[in-house]
Amino acid sequence: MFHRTFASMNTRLSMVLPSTAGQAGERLADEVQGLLRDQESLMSRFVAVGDLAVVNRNAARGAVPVSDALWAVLDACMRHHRLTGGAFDIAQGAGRPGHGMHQLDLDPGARTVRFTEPGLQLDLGGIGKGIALDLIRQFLLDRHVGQAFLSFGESSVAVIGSHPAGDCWPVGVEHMFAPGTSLHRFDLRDGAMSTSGNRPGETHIIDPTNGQAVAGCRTVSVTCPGAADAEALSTALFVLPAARRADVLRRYRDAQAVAFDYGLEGGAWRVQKEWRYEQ
Amino acid sequence: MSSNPLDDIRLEAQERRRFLARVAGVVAGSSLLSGLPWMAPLRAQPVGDAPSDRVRIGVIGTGSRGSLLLQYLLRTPGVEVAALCDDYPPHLNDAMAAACGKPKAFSDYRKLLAMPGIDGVVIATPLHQHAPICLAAFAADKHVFCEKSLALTVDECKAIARAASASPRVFQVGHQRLFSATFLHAHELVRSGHIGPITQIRASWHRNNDWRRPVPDPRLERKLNWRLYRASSGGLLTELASHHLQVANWYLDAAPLSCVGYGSVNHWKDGRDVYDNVNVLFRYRDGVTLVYDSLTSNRHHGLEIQIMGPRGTIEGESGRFYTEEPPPAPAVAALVAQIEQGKAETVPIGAPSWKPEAKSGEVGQQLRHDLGGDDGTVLSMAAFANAIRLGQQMPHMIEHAYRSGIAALMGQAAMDEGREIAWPGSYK
Repeated sequence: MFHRTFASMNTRLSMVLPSTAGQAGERLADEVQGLLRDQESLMSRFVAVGDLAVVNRNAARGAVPVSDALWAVLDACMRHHRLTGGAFDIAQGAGRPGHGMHQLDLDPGARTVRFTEPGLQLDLGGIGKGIALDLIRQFLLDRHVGQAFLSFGESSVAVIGSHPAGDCWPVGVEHMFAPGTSLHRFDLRDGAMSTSGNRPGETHIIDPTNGQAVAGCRTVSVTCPGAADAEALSTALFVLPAARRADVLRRYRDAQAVAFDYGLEGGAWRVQKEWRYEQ
Repeated sequence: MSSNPLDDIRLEAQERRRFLARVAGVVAGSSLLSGLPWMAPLRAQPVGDAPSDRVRIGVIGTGSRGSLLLQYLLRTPGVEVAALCDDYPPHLNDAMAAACGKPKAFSDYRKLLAMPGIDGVVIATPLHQHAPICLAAFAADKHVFCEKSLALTVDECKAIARAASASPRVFQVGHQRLFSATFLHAHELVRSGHIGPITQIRASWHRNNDWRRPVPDPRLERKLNWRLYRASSGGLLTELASHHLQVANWYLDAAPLSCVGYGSVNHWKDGRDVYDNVNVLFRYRDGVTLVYDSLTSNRHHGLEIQIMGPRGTIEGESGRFYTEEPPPAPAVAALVAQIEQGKAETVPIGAPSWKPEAKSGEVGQQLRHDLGGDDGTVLSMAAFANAIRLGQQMPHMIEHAYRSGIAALMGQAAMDEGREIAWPGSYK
């Protein structure tokens, strides 16, 4: 077995390769680390010379040509934006009501991006981890790795094959205030899981309908075959009203989801399964 | 402890002998000598009490540092403190008492140097006296241990370094971190790539006191508070910073190319003419910077040197190593343990993304500090005595002394002149 944890995208990526020997694992891990560095400079707002940062700086002043890699990312984000009815939106960085991906002018012929509104900022913070996980998983499959468990900041998980002692990877949604306790089990087979949510006193997900950060201590966990899809879905479901969630989920193959609500009662956190969806 | 100070010294000397015997075993059997040749004299097992084993030392300057070094010398196997010198009688009297009246007392170092049978001297005087005494000691064909910083001016530093190079005798400088278990271990981590290439060093020495000694008579102010006056001191740069400058030069294996800085007296406005706060940036090759500051009006940040690279951080004074590579999540660690045991249980995972603490929340790994709690001073005295006995010079010592001594003076000049000061070149 081989495992390693690296710092990346302001969090950590852990890879566990049960059927890979140490030296082969080291080589793979070094390559994965290189891949991650490229992905971070492609998608991070904070790498000044990176592709996304260049777009954020210049696209309000005119059309900015983008690399094929960033084009593919933006194209996928547009698709999720449509499929989720606008609930998934990477143009919420500035947190202004009315801002959103509808103000992105993408020219497929010229491969350029323009912001139709000054002050627009793109943020791939959530989906970036999923995109990187899909890429790493493909990289490992191409090198005939038959079993892998990948965790990106614990909010995004992608697997290859199954647990060496089982026929799937049994992954639980962890209780935020009782570490090690599972609230709900997903059986992953070559799939992914993503969790979006707020810790108490922490709001960082913006509701595109009003530009406000979503308050309340809750989490939404989603599984589906792709890690980027799971990331987009968990973020979208987190901001969507409960009544609209199932409609969105039906547009994604083999998606399952569960939502938990946390509340303080008599000084202790109680948790409640607020909702679940299985196809 | 008994009531007789001599008995106490003998007891502690026995302990020190056992400790040095252990160190000798470690040093002899290790590969570290290739990078740390000044450790070589410590390979020798501690000597017995035969007169032929004895190295006869004179201590010049018996103030706070000199009297401390005297305590160490009295407990170092095979060392006889044969003479003491100080031109301030109270210090000399205290030192004579500490040495149980056995050494010969002098008020003039030239007379001590002329005393027959003295092998070497330990110089712990105010800074402005280092150069004349060092040069006189080499001229008298003595082995020389000189406290840091090397000297008060660039020309004096060059003169001492040249005299030390030309002399067949041992020269050593009082940079005890060269013998500290923690700093040796940290150096090993740097050399083996544990933090990657060094990209920045930050060092600071912050205290909250006026740095004054009580003065029984105002006429003694400049003598006893010599640190506070330019005629005798380089202030915080020479008295404190030179230690961390030496560590930076050692780990970067280079001298600074240039520096800029600001200093002032912004708190202790008591007539001193050295700054009470100093802030200097030293530029090394490949764009690496040492950020140094020292403060006497606040102790919150204390004493530390941080050596940083893309893979980790070493904190030398607290002896800790922090990796930039985060620990695996508890869930991942649990999964790994499960797989090893052949069990497939649910792995609870999935919460809002884990974020690293801005300042590493990890407590870091403890570096070695197993040399009897010694900060390096025990071993530097033992190494000096052994080197004299073996007739072996200590490689790299002159370079360490020269580079840190000059760097301290560069920092002072940068603050005084308000401009960038370049490295003044080699002494050779």
